[in-house]
Amino acid sequence: MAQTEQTGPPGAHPSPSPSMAEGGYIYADDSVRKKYYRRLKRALTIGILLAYLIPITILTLYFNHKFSESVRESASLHLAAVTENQRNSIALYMQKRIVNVFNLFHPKDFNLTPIQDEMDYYLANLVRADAGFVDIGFINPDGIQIGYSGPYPHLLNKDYSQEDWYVALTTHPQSYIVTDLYLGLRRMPHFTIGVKQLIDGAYYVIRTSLDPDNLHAYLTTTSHGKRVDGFLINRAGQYQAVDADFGQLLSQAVFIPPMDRQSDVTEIAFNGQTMLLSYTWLKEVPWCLVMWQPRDVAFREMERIRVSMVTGSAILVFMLMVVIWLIVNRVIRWTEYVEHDRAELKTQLYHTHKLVAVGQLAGGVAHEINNPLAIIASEAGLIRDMLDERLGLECTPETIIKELDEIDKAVYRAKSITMKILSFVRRTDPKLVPCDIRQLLEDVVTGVKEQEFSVSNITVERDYDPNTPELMLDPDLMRQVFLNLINNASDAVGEGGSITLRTRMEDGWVRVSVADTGVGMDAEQVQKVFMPFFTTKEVGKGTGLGLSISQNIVEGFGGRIEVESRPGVGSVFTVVLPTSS
Amino acid sequence: MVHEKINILLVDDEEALLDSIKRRLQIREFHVIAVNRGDKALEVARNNPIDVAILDLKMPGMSGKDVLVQLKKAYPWLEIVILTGHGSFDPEKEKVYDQAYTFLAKPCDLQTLLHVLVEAYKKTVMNKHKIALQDVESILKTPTMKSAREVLQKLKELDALSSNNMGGA
Repeated sequence: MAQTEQTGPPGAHPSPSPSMAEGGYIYADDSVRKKYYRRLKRALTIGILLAYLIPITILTLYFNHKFSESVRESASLHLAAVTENQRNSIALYMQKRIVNVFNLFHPKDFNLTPIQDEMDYYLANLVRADAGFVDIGFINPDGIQIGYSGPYPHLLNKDYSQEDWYVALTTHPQSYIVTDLYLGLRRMPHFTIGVKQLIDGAYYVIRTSLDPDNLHAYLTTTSHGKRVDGFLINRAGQYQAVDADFGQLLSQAVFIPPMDRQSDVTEIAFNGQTMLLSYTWLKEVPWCLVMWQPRDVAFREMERIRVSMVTGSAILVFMLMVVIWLIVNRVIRWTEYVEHDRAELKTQLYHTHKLVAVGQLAGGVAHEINNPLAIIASEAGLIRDMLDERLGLECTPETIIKELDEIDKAVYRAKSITMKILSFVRRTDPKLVPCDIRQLLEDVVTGVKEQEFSVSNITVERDYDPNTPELMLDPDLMRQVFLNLINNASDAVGEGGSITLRTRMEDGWVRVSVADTGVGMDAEQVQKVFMPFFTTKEVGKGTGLGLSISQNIVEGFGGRIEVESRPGVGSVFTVVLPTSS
Repeated sequence: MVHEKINILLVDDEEALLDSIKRRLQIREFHVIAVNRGDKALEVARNNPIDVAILDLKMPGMSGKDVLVQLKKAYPWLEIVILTGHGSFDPEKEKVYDQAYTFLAKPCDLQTLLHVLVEAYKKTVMNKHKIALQDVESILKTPTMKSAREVLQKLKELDALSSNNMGGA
């Protein structure tokens, strides 16, 4: 038998009130929509922000890292270069001093037993070359200082043959030696330069003491506008020349460079700050030059650039956020506008649909109203005729009342039709509450129809799915729908018949069917079943509006009514409702 | 056989209307046979002489339209008045409705109905006996005839007379 699919997909139909139609979906109200837009706005903003911020952050971190690395490297290289430069200066200074001393051997009048005046003259020569020279001694091959000039005359004739530096100088091939700093007999830190000259098969040695103060000038320099300090240490790690701020001469240095590396750059902690430190071993002297500066100072440039980079990124991010905020706002406004337009169009469509429906109604309504009106007019005329004695009709209160009753009946019939039409086009907003479909069915069967069913001996079979979910519906409207269907079923089965109420879940839809074993309908009747004023019932019994109204209500909830019928077998009306709306 | 009254077949599914119209026509010298279904109407027409039929259109079972077609087929001369409450009914739409004498909308006042019935009956008589309109008018327009009842009476006589003549020939 033909099954009439009356509806399209849920939500495709205009809903029964304008406020519902605006919601995009059936019965969605304003607050739901606002919430939806708030959520959409938040998701959009966060999404776009992340999409921009994550790459920016990664890039910033990456460049910061790369930049730091290169700045650190360049700072190290720079410090190493400064150190190299200072080392050269110190080496040059040392070489000059050594040459100064060597030159003493070369005058033509040099003799191997210098008198005091000659020694004083040599010292004066040396001091002219460099004020650091303190004294001078001439040592014969036996290691005895046979000539001396300087502030410590008691050193004359001192035996140096067992002194380490003397032994080293006379046994090694190198023709000069520079000693570590030592206090010696005079309790003043100084170092010794000794040079040897082979004369007549024996080594004669000139030794001279130097004040290390002059070295200080080579320890501090200014590079790139930043001060770089340095110190000299010997192999034992004792300061040979140092700024008083860092340590005491001859005391243990804060840093002892490894001897197996000629030079390197490293970092150490000193006085609570990290120092960038570069060292290099001198050639002429077994000393190591160490140059250092606080890392903060060395990296100041980098810090400045890093700060501007971070500030720049922050400004960029802020600007992005502003732009994103503006764009998102605009998109949301635009979406709302489009949605509003769509809703308006839908509302208009709905009203057009309604107008068409009302227009279709009008013909039927006229007929349904005109019939009772015709009865009223005719009965009134008849009463008038009764009152006209010439016509000779029976005119007693009883006969008149009988006609008046007919008038009353017609009036109430007309009224019931107008009421139903009003409910058909009514625009009140339905109230949505969670409803148990089974309970609504029971309300109708046991509440409204129980008496009638027991009188007519109609039995009701129940076949409910225990998993029938609660749905958001207007219980009054849904009761009206079920009452309509159950009324139709009971009219169809007649006395002693049976009606089956069934609920089923199917692919997210709840199917509620009312099945009867009544007279059924043929294909043509099934086609017309939802048309307003179509009825198979006797005159005056059915208005032909029930199914029409029911369909309207169910479509309002995003559902549909399906019908299946076979003449002589019965009809099944199924209300199909979406589980989520 | 001469009939004293005009025979009206009244077909409508509204019992109350059927009853009241029937009684009001009866006291106005009409013979009314009222039925509430189309098939019954055809049966009545077969067994009784009918002068004018009043038909409702929307009825359970056989519709007024079908009854109109059937009656006109069986009795081409019979004039039929359609009395309907259908608000948007448009007789121009379908050719079959050309066969009806006229259309009245419910509710219809009695004077209009009576007038239409007389005119329809006049037409029936003309159809039946192939009398030209002016002849009927001249017969009816004798100074002695004043009331509708007299006109009907004359028509009835005319109808009966012609029938007898035809029967005799």
